Amino acid sequence: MNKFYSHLSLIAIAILLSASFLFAQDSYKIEYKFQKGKTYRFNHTSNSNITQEMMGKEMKMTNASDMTIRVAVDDLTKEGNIVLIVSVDSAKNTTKSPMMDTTMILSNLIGKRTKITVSKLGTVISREVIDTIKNEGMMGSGSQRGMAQITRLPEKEVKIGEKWNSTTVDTIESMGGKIYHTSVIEYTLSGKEKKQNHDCLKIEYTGTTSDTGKMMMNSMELFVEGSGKVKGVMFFDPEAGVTVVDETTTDNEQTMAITGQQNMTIPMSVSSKSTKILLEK
Amino acid sequence: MSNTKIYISRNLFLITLSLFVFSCAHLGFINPSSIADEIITPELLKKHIYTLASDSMKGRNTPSPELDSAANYIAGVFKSSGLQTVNGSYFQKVGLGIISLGEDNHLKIFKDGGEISFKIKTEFTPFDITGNQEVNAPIVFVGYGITAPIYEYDDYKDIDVRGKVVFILKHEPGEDDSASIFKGTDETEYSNLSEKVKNAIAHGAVGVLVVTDPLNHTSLTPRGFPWPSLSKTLPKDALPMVLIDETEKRIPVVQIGEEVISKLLGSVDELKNIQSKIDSTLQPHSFVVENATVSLKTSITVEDKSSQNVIGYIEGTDSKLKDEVLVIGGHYDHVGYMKQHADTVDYIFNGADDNASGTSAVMAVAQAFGAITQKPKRSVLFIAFTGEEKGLTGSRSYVNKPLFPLDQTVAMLNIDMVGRNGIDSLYMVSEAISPDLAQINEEENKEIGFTLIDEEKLPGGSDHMSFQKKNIPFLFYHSGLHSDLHKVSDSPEKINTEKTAKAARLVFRTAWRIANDEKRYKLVDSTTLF
Repeated sequence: MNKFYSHLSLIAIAILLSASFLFAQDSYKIEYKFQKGKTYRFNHTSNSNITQEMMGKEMKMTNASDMTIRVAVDDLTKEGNIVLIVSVDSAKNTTKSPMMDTTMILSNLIGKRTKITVSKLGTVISREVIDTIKNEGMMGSGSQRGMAQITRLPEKEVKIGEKWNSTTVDTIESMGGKIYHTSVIEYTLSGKEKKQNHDCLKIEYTGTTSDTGKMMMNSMELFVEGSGKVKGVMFFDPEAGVTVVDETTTDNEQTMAITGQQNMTIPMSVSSKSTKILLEK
Repeated sequence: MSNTKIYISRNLFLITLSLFVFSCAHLGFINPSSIADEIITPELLKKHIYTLASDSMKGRNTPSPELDSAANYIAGVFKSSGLQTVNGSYFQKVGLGIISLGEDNHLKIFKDGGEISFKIKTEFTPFDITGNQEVNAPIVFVGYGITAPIYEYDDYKDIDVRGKVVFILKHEPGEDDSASIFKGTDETEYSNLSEKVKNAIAHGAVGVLVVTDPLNHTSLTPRGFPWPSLSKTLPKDALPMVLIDETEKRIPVVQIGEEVISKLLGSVDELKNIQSKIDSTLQPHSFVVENATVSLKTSITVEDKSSQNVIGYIEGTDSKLKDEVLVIGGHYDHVGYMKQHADTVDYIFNGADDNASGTSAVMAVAQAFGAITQKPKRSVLFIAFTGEEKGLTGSRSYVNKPLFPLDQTVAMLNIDMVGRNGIDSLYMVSEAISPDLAQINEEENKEIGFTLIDEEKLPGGSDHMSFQKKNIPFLFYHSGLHSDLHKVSDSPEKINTEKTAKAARLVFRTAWRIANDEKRYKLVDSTTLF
């Protein structure tokens, strides 16, 4: 190799090194910057394929939901936490199965508020249901909690390529019982991308979930056990401190077991794709 | 004429008339429906319903001593009505049990000189239809494990699986393809795992490895059956009661996950390629897994929970038609009582409408048939089914082991919940599926006067479905759902016995027509409800 080519190689390596160094210099403090008095609206759509087995017979169902979620910033506490009032402006659910093909407007959900206090990093400090949903069942309480999901952000500044982890245990109180939902998620800050006219950080995530718990239904005990995988990508505007787009795919295997009048086990497989998009600030 | 004379004269007239009516009835001159109308009264129905739905029956759970008491009561009614036994008994045993997973289970693959032992639950899980057996055998992949002559499809074509363990995909070709020959995106019976296992046994296989078909399903978790013994959350009480057929051959049947697939085929992608070829060509791509054998052992224990159907028989009078049978049935079980309850609250699910009302109607119709000296041409079999609430187990057991040949069973009339809602209307499932029977029923209803509401399906299902599955035309009588269903408030005083009697009279008239008919009836589509 002659000196010329040798120099070119060194220059190329130097450029690459400096470029990566410069790139590596970009580190981000990612936190929610909800502003008091402002209202954020998100469209949340979800499509699920469900296979349920009862008494040796499989039944397939599809479920599609479309909700507009309202997040009003009620207060910023002196500790730096954010008090959010979360509610639903519209909610539609379509279920198709061999037994039904039904679209319902979930009017019971609309306007029902939940007060959530979160840290700037998305740690839920407290959660309070302000308006109880009548005849809620799992649908109501699940939706009420689902609409208020807040992604955990990294505690330290992160650079592109860096990861952080989050383990959360969420308790869903419903139908006279409790379901414990555990999620273990690894986030990776994977790049930058423009979304919905926002300069966003691209955050990819994968993880596992598990559910366990017990409820009551018509004097029967209903046990739930399940586990799943979650994968997704989220686009976060660091300037505005808000999630702009969040796309999630989940695959869950669950078993419900019933004792009492009826004794049975019902295995279910649920594959879902959901998207949350910021509509306006 | 004095009042005394008028009195004597009138009574003599009534006595003469009664004797005439009695004689005519026994000579066959009186319309049997008139006799039935005399017998099937609200008072009779009330007596039966209050007996079956009394607190002493404790909700007639399957099995229970109280359900046996109900069975004895029904058998007593059949006997006193002159109905005959079958095989010397008014009872037909229904083999029921609770299957638990035993402790000794393993799956080992020997391939290319190596041995791998797989973990239960995470890498393989036995199904509830598995057997108590250990097998050591070569492995043969046989696609979906389906032999479907009506679709000219056979995964077992030109391959010998005798003495082998077969490795099969769940579901059926073109599962999500609306143009699939397997009824488009609707599932056929061929996708049912128990049918696949029966097919494997029929071809001589000694074990079955089942895998979720990877092209249509993202999760390949080897779930098998959700055994409580493999779970931290699921209670043992949740194990369902299932039909037990001691004569049925069982072999080890397990679901396998990605680790086992990779060991056998190299990768899940390879399985996807094979599935894609089968789906696109509808030709078998079955093969022996080279240089591989499996050691497969599964163990189960069965807790006996057997119960009984109650039967009463009237033999037909026509020398040929008496071999044909009309079945009139309804389930007599309900869901028992709350084991944990406060002393002050009602804790018994009396099941007055569900289905003391229908069972009482069956008994009343049997009593009417029994009272008429002139017997029908065809034979009639009355059945009070056990275990409907446990998955139609009584009726499923009957059609699996019928007392009379199913191809000679011309129709089934099922009565389930006929005591609530408005007296003027009655729900039917009939016209779209059993149009000939629906026509007879509608003609007979002109004398009864119900507004018949014909539905293609009714929620929940009932015992007629077991007969439908065997291609037997049926009529389903039902008075509609209500808020007391499966609650302690489904109590006898809420039953409109006028309505139940009216429904039973309609059933009698239709049954009498069928039992004296010579036609065979059409069943439009035996899979509509499945």
